[in-house]
Amino acid sequence: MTCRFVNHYQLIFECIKQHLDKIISQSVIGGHRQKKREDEGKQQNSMASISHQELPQAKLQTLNELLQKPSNSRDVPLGVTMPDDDGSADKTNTRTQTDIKEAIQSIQDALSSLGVLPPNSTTQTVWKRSIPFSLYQSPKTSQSLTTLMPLDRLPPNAKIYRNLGDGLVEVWTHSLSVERGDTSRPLQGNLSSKLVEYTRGTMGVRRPFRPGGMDDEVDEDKDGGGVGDYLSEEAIKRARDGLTKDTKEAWMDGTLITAPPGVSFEVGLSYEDVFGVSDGEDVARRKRDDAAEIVADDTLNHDTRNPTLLGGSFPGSQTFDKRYFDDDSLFGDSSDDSSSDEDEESVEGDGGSADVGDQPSHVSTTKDNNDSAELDDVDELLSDIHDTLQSPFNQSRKTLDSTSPLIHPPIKTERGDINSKKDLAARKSWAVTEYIPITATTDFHTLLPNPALTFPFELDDFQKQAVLRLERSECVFLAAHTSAGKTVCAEYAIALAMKHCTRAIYTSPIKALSNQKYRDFKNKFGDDVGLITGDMQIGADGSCLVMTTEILRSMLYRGADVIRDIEWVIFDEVHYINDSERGVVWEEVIIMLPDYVNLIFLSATTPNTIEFSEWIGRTKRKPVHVIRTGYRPVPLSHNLWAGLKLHSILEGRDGFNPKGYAEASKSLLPSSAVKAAEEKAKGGAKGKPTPVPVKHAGRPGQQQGTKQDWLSLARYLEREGLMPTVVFSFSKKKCEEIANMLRSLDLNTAAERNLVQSFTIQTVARLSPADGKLPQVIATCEMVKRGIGVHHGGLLPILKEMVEILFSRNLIKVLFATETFAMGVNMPARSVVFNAIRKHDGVQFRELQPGEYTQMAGRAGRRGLDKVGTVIICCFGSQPPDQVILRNMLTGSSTKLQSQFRLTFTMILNLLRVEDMSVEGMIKRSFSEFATQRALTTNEYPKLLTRGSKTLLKLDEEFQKDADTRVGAEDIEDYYFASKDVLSANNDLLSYMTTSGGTAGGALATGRIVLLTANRKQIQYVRAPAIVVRAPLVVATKSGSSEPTIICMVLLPEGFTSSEEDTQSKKLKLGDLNFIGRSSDRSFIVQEVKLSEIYLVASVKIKVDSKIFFQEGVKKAPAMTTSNPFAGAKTMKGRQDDDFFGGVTARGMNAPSTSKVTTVSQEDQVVNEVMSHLIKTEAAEKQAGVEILDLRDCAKNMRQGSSEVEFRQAVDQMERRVMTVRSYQCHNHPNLEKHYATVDRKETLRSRVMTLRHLLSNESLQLFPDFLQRKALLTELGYIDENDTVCLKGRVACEVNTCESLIVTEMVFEGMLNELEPTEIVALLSALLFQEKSDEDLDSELPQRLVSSCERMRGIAIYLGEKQKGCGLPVDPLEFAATSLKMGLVHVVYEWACGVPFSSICELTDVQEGSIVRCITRLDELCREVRNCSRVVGNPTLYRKMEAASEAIKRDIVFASSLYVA
Amino acid sequence: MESIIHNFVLPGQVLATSNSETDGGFLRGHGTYIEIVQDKESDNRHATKAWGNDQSNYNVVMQTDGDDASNQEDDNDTLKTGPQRLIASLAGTVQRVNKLISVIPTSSSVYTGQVGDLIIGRIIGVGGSRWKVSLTCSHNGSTREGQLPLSGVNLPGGVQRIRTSEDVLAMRSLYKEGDLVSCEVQNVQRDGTLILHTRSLRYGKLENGVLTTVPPGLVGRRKNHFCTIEGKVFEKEGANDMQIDDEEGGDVDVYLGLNGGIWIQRKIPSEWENTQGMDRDSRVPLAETLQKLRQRHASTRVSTLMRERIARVRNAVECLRLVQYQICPESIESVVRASLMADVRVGHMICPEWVVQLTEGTRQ
Repeated sequence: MTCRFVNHYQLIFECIKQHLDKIISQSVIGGHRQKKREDEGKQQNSMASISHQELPQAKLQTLNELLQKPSNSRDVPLGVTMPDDDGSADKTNTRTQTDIKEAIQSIQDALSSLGVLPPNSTTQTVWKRSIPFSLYQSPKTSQSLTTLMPLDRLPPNAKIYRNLGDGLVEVWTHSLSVERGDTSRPLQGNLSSKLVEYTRGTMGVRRPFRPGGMDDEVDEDKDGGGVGDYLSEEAIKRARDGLTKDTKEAWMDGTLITAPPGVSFEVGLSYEDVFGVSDGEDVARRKRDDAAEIVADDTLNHDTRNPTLLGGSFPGSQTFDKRYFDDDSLFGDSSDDSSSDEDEESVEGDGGSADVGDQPSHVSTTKDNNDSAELDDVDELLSDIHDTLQSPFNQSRKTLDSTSPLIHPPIKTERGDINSKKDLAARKSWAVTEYIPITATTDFHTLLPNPALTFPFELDDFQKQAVLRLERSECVFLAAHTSAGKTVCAEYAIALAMKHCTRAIYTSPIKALSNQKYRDFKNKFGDDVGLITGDMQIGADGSCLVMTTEILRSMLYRGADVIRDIEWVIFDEVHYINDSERGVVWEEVIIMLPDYVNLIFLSATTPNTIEFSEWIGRTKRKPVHVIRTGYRPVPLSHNLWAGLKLHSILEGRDGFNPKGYAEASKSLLPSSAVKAAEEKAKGGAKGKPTPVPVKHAGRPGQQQGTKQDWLSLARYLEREGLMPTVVFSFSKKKCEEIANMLRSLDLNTAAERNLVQSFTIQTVARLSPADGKLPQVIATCEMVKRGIGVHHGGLLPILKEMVEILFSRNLIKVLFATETFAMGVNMPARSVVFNAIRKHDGVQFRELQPGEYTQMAGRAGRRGLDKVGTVIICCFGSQPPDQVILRNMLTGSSTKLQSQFRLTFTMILNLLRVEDMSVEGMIKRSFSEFATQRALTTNEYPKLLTRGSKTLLKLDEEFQKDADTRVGAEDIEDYYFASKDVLSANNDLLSYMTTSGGTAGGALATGRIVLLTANRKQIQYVRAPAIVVRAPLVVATKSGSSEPTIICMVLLPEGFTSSEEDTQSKKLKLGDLNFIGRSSDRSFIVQEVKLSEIYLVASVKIKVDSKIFFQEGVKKAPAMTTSNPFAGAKTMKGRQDDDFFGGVTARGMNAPSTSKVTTVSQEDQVVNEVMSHLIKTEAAEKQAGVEILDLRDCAKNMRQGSSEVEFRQAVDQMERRVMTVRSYQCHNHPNLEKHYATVDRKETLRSRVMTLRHLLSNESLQLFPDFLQRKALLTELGYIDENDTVCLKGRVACEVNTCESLIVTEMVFEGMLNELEPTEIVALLSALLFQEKSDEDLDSELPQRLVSSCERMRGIAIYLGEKQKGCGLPVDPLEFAATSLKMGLVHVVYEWACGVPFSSICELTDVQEGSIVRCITRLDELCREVRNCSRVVGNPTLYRKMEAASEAIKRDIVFASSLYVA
Repeated sequence: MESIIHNFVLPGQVLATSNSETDGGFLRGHGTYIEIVQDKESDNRHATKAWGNDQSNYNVVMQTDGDDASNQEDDNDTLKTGPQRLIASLAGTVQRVNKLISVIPTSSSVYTGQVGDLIIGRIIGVGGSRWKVSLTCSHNGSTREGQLPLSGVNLPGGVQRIRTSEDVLAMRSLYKEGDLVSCEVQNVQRDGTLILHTRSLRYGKLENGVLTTVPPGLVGRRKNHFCTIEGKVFEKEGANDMQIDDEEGGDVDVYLGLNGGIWIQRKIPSEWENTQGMDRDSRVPLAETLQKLRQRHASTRVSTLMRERIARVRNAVECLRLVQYQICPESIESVVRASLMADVRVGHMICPEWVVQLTEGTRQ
């Protein structure tokens, strides 16, 4: 029986095994889930069918039992993880033979590992898990019509084929229709969500894909569910364990992150859950709160380790003192700014709404209650919009000043705010400056139990911060000094990428730096590192790719495959974004990178790091952690070199030391001058003996050290042990000169000399014999032997690299370098010498900026070798550099990161070519638009806009509805617009006239009667007559703009009543502004009126005592008016019978206010008189129209020439408009004010809404006009068609990236290149790439054809320049041609392509060798691009020619491989 | 129309003659080849022959005058190459850009890809860490295949790819044979093979819609190939009784693949986005939301009304194909409108008589 039994089972197992093999081969681990399910089903099927036909039920039971038995074996097939068993292994399995057992076990293992079968569960429990509904669906490829289902999980409509018992049924697949709703997820979702969970960078650990059942879930379900879709505590704990262990270990241990399918970790699991950070953080925070008392011992140790830290840091348990990271203490400023700013704003807002709240009471007669309530709404909205419209400007201004006002650095906020989860949801700021608290050194290791990369030294705190952030897959902006160790961050990211099987891309601003970094990383990480630059491509499959930013950009435009694998992009020296020429590339790249890519920015310290990070975070929609430190591992000492001695002017973190400066300047003076100075000092002129003329005389000497100077300096340095030294001077020529001065110096020992010798021989051996004899090669080799090196752009690249390598091996003692040496790679020296502190930046000579100085000075001090880095500024003249300049340079804050974003044709064409990016989007997301765009969204413009447009619609509707109430005023809308026209016309005229000051030529003199139209919150009046009581005066308003205002006494419309209490409560009296009084049964008000409210100026002018209505002093000093005994009088009626004449005679503003005392009756008299005048005017206007003052007469004296004609026309027009207005029916309508107000409200809102819409649209972008112009040009030239589709020409232009693409394209399409020989082509193209200035005329030796082609090329450039100008771009054709074409190397390249040796071509020109080589290397790149162009065009001739051209130049020294690379 | 006729050339037709290719006369482009004339039959080397037997309406006049260099060049080059003729190798229209002369084939069954084109294709093979995508959409067209490398697709949820063998094995879970995908041409290789990619989340698998194929020539290049035909197009004027599900806006999405594949589906209603939790600050990335939307789209039944609309659009496209008219949202819309105006049932739209009638307005 046993025997037969065995045989039977053998058979079955064989069968299953085959199945399994199939499954395994098809889907190993991350395999096709559906497939597996299918197979699973099949297996069940086959098993079932076998059991039915051949075996008695009982035996099936046995089989099941066997299958259910937990396996003890731990061999994990195909690297699949085995979950832990609970150890309840059945010990009764002795009754079967061992081979069966093994077979069963292996199958079981396989099954369980594939998730088909949980190892310790029954077959039923397999189904206990929620099954994605798609599993019910029979895949199209499947043959089976039925499928096995657990009975309790049957969908409602399922048709049962047969019942198998054990709670299993076989059902018809077709009956399991799709309409099961979407509560369960379809298959695709399942897989993808798995992938999301497993691959999303957030968890930072690569988790193996483990499909199928996970025992925990089953257990949970057994426990009675309740867990729902979320993770249980236990699961979280498990996950935490899993994450904190290394993935591989977790694998082995079987500790796995388990989650029911479809639950993404985001829901139930956060970092805090995993790392337990939130608790720790809270604790730490609590600790910090009472940190004043606690001084933890362990931190003391820590502090002593960093002497610099000790000085400024907070001796609490928190090592992460703010000041430690932010020596520029930006937090304080910015947060203060922002809070005060906001307060102000909110107060204003409140005030506005309060106004609205109590105003309607004034106008209760004109409005019923309903109306006023509604008015509230609208007015509030209006004021809201108005407020926000004001704010962006403030904000943008502010961001220019300091950091952005909106950033609330969490470190400053209350403890409660930092509850990170909530914080994240309510985040306002994308730049996070919060630090992970690390109290002791051990903390770091518990937080990071399995680092992707370990370092042989203890990391600095900022490095730890960065590493922890990286481990959590978060973006990091690391701003630190050059030598602080930013590379650690980059290296860690690379290691992470390798661990995660993804990619890291390292971009650097310059190619040379890429080469060096490539070597560094290759030494560190082995062969998995690649390098892609313009001229070479090594190991492009590597996990870490080093490239220049331009390459990355073109990859992004192309949508290269590489992009999808990227996990990290490291931007080194990101402050290069300030480069006017190339900075835009960084922005483009940052904008275009997909969102899932994590970014690391390494930068020198910049003041607006946070603003920049904020932009990045906003663009990428993820927080950017800003880690800043002013920390230097080796402190610097800044000195002046004067009188053969060093004078310290700044030590470490101390302040500027004027004493040292004084000493230095003294020692520079000749002895006689010293005496003189001393005498002078005695005489009392204490301080700087710096006569200005001397300073100027001294300047040239300052630039130029003599040979003796340099020799003594070098000897001094050698004697004091300050070698190796880098001497920065700012021109190639100067470097060479000084190096030559030191010809007599030999700084190397014999042993060192041998080392250098052998290295130089090796290097030169890479060159051809002829090239090895180049003067530069020989000179350099000779020089380095003596321990002196030169490093600048004119050097042949290979020599440059040789010098770098020798320097890093400490075999060069003095290196004369240009600024480029300060960029990037870690090449520190003991001391740094500045030859001068002025440099030519391409435009002018200027002092070094603090940032530049810091960057270069940062080269001083080798970590671990030197205690202090010495920086020496040479003073060779008779005067040291100006103290103010020096102080600023040493202690000033570095240059801000600023957007250099601009549109290029290549960018436009590339973006137009693909659908899912747009130029508008690019502009919108650029750093330069950042402030505006942020203001737009943070001010909730969109919300306001929708609110506004909704209200507008409502108002419109209401207006339509109320049409029948406007009897006699049907034309109110037209009237409104017409009168608006008049108002604006008048405003133009009057403001033009008031520019000369005074009374605008008498037009607005005191006593003039004008008609006003205004719609204020409390009082509306239309064409209300008023009398001017104060001539125009320019008053600075709150918003800063100055607008002339006049003060008028306005006759209010009939029927106006005002509550007297109000007047009283405000304690206003006649003579005050905004006083409302009554006389002759009409009300009047004294008000400040803007010119834009004057509807017309009447020709009538009456004499009036202006002081009655308005007293100048009143506003400023209310106390003065209290002297008036009648101040409290309510109305004018009570004081009627006094002096008759006083008012009439009183005239003129200039009379002192105290000189005239008017009695009450006088006042009354005057008021009455004026009122009657005004009422008369009103009547006149209603009947026939008031006579208009001829402004032409008034403005007689102020206009001349052509403006006179214009002015006349304007006046004419204004008068015509007034006539139109008067012709309207409703002009005389009694209730005009009310209707007018309704329309005004509506229309004001409309215009505001329009403004908002405009601001939110693309048109408001700063660069939008530029974009349109460029697009117009491209259309005109045929690069794109009118639908913005890129045409053939455009596609050709897209291929060219290295130079002005339009010129190349035109040349291709003109067939110019086809006419030339390959050698001539390269010569011609060199003009596009060469950048140095060279006035050389084209040689007569060149072939005539080449010369004429050059002329044609110039013609094309000028043509293009003209076209650009024609399209409104600020381009000067000739200048455009001159800057884009530099013919300096045409001859050289021609000869080179013809095969002339390098040494001979060097003689043709005075351009330095390095520049020639660089030009030719780039030429090769251009050749390749043109070759691609020819392919797009479909011209094989050109293709072949370009190939040949490329061949012709690729030889010898120009393409000698880099020392770093090979 | 006139100019098209005049620009039309047949293979073998002489497009231009000139002294030599290097004398600046013309530049050879796609669809042409150069033949060197053996005997100098005409002295008038600088003049150019026009199109075959055609008159002078479209002439390529070689401009060798004006250049200082031309005389000298003549002397140089006569030795190397003789006079040349540029001959069309395809039937099509002549395109001239500056001096470049190329022939754009009218044969619409051949699709030649360009970078950035939208493609609607069908997966026909999985392997070698790439999918083979059939681009053949017209019935009699030659079989073209594009390649969609694994590295060229976005993983669901917008996650980044892990470069392991696992995902190579899991390729079928993304797209399997028979799936329809929309993708973009990333690169055209030298031999004309198209390398595709799904650059953004807009591309990807197509489900729950209708594919119809037309000759590629009928789909013109335009700014946007993801078009939407708004629901109101389908509403008959005056008749408001057509009830639209409040869930669906009734818009129909039309993806105009440049290879001739046209995909029609219901537009994902904007309400879904809201329900899908598009709150901006949540930690769910956009990619995942989009993906969820897609899933929902793929799994949600299309209402009968919507089906009818989709079918109508499909038949409108078919009508346009039958009359060989360019297919763009405007033309589709106008046919749809015409069909609604004429009260044609969807099924009858492609009856020959209706086809003519419905497209009449469009063709003019």
